[in-house]
Amino acid sequence: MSKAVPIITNVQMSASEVPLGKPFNIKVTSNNQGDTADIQIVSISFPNLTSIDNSDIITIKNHNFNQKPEFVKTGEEIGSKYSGLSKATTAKYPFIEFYSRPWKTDAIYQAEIEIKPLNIGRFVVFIKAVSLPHNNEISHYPQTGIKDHQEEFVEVYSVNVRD
Amino acid sequence: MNNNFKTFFRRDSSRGTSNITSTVQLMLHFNEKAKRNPITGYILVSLGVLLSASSGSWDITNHLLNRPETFFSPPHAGLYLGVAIVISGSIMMLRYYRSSSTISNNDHHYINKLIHLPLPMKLVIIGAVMLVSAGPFDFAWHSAFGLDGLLSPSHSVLTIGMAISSIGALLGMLSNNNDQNNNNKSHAVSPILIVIGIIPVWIIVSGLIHMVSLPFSDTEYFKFNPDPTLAAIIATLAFPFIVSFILFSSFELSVRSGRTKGMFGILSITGAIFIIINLSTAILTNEHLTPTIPFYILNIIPIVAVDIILSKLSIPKTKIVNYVAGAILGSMFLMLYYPLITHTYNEVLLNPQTVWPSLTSSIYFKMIDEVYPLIVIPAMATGILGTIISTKLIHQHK
Repeated sequence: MSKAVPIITNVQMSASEVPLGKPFNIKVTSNNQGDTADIQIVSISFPNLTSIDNSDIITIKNHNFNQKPEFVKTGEEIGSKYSGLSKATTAKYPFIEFYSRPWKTDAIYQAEIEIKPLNIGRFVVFIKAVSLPHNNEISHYPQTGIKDHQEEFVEVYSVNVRD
Repeated sequence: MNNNFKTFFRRDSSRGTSNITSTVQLMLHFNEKAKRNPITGYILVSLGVLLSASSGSWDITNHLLNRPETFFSPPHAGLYLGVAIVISGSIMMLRYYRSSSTISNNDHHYINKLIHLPLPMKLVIIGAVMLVSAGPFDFAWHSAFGLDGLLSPSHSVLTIGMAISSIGALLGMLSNNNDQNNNNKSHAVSPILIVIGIIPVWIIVSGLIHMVSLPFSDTEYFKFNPDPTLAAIIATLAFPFIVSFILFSSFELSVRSGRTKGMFGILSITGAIFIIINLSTAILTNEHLTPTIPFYILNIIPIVAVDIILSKLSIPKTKIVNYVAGAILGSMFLMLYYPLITHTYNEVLLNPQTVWPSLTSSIYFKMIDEVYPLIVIPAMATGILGTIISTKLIHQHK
């Protein structure tokens, strides 16, 4: 059985604080340090948002993933606990899934998105990577920490949005 | 190899250069050859279908691995290059008919011309028309509905067109070869023509069976996946039949009239080519299946064994020997159609799981224990049926 080892190798935020109405960029780089994965997903979610329908809020600046990214809206049926739709739940906030299929050993993929927050305060971004088929705890990154609406571990990043 | 082939290939191999002039000369040579003998056209039709069908198998694997896909993918290029070859072969075949038939010269009504075509040519033309119409249909379907499933209207037209063309080409080669040999008071069919003609039929009919049994046809817009139980029943009955029918026919066609002994090797070569094609298009294209290559190559053992039984051990040949051959050939289909067949039977397992490309072999080898005891008897029965129908059809033809 092949064992992929997904990892988020780098997350670059263009600013730690932005004035309301101004965008900031986030660049995520991910790697697979194990065997070739059938699919590896990098998920970037936005718990402060209820919708990303307005194209001004989230813009994909560039990416080199070999599949078209998928936007998931609040309320859509999604998988949980690394089990896919066999343990379905409902998305509580929107997110973007970047993925490559297959994701070969040591292959690096990255994506840069522009975000324009709508409200003052702390704008939070969750980031995680998951390889499929999901065999065990090394099939996801991070392996500990905070869990998102899918009950899967995420790294937390934030930007302070001021008046 | 018949004399036409010997002279044809000898002349071609003497052309050392690969410049445009020699290519044009080669095409003119093909053209001239086709005017004198329709077999060249039939061979091109068969080879075109073989390229298309093999590319189709590669396309399925490509979709499973889900590499970036547009209509203009390498497997699609192979598929439509094959279609172009089929059309070229059809044109050559018609040129021969036009130059050799009085009807075509005097009758300007196309329908009359079509009605008077010999059956093999009719089948090739009907198939070629379906292929030509399937191209734009497929492109339009992709444009309207994005990625289509395996079973879609455009894919059905394409695959059925290829099946009809390949059957027409096979019949054309056999009847033309027999006509020539009747003049020489011999009824043997050229071994190379048997193999060239029968392999595309096998590959494309297998493709049709996959089309109605694999769970690859649900899309965002259409749910064309077959019922899992019905799909498993179709696979269990149709695959053993076609394996046995094709391989037994390849042997039976080599049996000379008035003698009971067929030629050893044709059945084995036909089986070996099928194995090589499936190996190249469905196994080598998925790196996770590389360790299973030796397992897959072992399929040649029962094929050669049946070849030996039929050609060496059965003099005089009896029906029982044919039935034993059919039972062996039918019973090996689960191994011969690895890895794609994993997806069909996984759907009816008690605990089905997602058949990821990296898990295909492990699911398959676990599945064998559960599935094989249930399917081996019906597989042997339809394998025997394949030999019975093959014998009847070929003897009727002779």
